[in-house]
Amino acid sequence: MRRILAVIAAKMTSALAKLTGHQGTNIGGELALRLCPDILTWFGSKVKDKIIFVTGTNGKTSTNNMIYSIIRQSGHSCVCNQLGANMNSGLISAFINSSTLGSLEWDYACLEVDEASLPKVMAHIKPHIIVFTNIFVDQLDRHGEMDALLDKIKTAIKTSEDTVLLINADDPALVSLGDGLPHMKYYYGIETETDMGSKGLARDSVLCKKCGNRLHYNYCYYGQLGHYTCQKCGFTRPVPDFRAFLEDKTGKRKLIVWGKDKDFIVETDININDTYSIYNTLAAASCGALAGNTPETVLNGIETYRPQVGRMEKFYIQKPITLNLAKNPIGFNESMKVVSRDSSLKTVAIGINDLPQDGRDVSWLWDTNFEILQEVDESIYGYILFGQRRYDIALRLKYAGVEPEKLIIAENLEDVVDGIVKSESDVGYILLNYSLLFDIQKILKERNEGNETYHVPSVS
Amino acid sequence: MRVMKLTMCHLYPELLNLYGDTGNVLALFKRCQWRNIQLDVIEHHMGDKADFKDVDIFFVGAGAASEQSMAVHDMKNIKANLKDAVEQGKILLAICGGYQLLGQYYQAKGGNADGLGLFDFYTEPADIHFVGNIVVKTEDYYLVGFENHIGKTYLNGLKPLGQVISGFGNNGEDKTEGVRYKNTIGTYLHGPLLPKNPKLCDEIIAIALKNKYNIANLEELDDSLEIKAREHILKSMGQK
Ligand SMILES: [Zn+2]
Repeated sequence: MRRILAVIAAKMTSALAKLTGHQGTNIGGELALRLCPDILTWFGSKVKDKIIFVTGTNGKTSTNNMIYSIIRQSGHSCVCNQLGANMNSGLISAFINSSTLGSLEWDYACLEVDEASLPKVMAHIKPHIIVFTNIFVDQLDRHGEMDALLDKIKTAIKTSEDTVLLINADDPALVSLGDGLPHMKYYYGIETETDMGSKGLARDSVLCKKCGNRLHYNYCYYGQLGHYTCQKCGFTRPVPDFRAFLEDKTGKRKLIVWGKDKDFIVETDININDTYSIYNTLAAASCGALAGNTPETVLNGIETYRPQVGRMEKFYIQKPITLNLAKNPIGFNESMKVVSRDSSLKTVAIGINDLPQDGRDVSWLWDTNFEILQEVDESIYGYILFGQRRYDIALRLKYAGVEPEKLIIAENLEDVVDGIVKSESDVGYILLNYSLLFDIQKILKERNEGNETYHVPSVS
Repeated sequence: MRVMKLTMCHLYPELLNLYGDTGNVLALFKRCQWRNIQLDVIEHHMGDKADFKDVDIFFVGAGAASEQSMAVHDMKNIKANLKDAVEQGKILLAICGGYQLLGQYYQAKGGNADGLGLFDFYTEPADIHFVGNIVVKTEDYYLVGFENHIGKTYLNGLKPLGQVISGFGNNGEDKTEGVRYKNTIGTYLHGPLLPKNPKLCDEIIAIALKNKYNIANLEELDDSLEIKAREHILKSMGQK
């Protein structure tokens, strides 16, 4: 009963926190933890089928959410800390948020766990599978912190001998971690040579964890990830159980994941600029396969995951405002077609950043058909350009034939939203690429006057 | 009023079309149009016969390695024509992969590809990816752009287009960027090159007008947006 009360109290606290404008991610969890210190252990015992942890430096949230999407496709109930709150209290909050008082049981739990919190969390819950994304040295200081962290993780995992480890074969730090553990291990890795934006950076700097010699790389994908071998002691990249192949075509990239016996094959198109999602998608597909899902379920899970953020999301701030994420010429052309079919007087805001997750090279703007907007120029009140590459889009629109007087440069996101709201147009559209999405979405949500935001089917 | 007319030939647009190259064509087209100069854009495809007598400006863009070698193979049929045009002082603008293939050879990792051999420069494979914003100083102005290549080009005595102020340029070693021979311009700058570098774009138009009509002056345009765009890049690179 104490536990049920803790859940009720936590739920109320979360609701209260939301009402008073606090982000409710952890606060309920912290209260529940105080009321009932073993609540995480208890929640863990309420998961009937499998508990999956995703841990590592980069890509945890996306990978975990993609695994969740796969599990949901398989028709099972599942707890997931989708917001990326990955300490103990965050995990408890995830259980609380997905609990109803009538039912406190789930088939699966997919939990993203901060790599440094792994020992603490594993004191309460023993996962069936741990998915490791990568461990990046550059996020830790160089004086042994990395080795201390790896030791802590190792000790934590040793407390749970039946846990299966799913390891990125391309990461020598993770592979040496796995080598020191007697657990059942599976590996995933990329087979096709591909440039992930920082080719060759690791070449001189990664030392063999076994003998200290410099690792030799045949391919280097990103950071220390690649095809490596130690020419002194023989430490080498294991042959992956789940192998990814990439096929690049103009503006498009296909990711093919093979299971060991080639009885498991998943093929999906991914954005050519979004190299970060290759490993996330590969890890999620491998985990989906390991959890016993069919290739169809895995593919459906991956594909329903992807369009969920910022796709034609509607807001109302004195006028309807539509937010749409578009990352490449095809996505932009499709969103602009939607804009051009709306005959209302419009303000169109376009935001482009050039961070690594967006793709640093924005010359694709010139392969994008901005003339679609120019053709309906009389129904466009004005353009607001924002993001690091705001002048690039402004120039692109000028050369598409838009009068420069119609082009307004916004220096910050508040000005973008204000510009739309205060303009004489009837509606607003915001088209933007990835790294701008979440910040502007936050402003729109805060100022939204309608009830919940809602989604219409994705167009891109 | 006499309408002046120029002709540009876009070489192998079906093969060499990476990195927003059409932006260069568009910039030339618009900056002619804004001055009431008619720019006809014709395309030269694989297997086409050379028909360049009216061409004032040649343009060759970037492409992936396999497309590059297909283009070179076909281009051998028009090499003599291009050579004549270059020596006559016609404009040849070549970007990135299109620039590399005009040289003796360009070596990609794990393979060696013959270039067209129109010029003596050559390209070796690089260990690192040269990617990022770039600023180049020519005799008269700064060029801004974006580079994205894995080849190291050595000019072999030819004159560069300019000196690298920030970025990698031809090879990341000798601070040279691109090549300039008569009115041939080869460069790694894309992004694309011409919209953000209106002075270079206008220089090309002016040369073409001079060649064809012996007219030297070019009507000024309002480039305030272009100037702001350039300032924004220079500022973001700490160059201002
Ligand atoms: Zn070794």
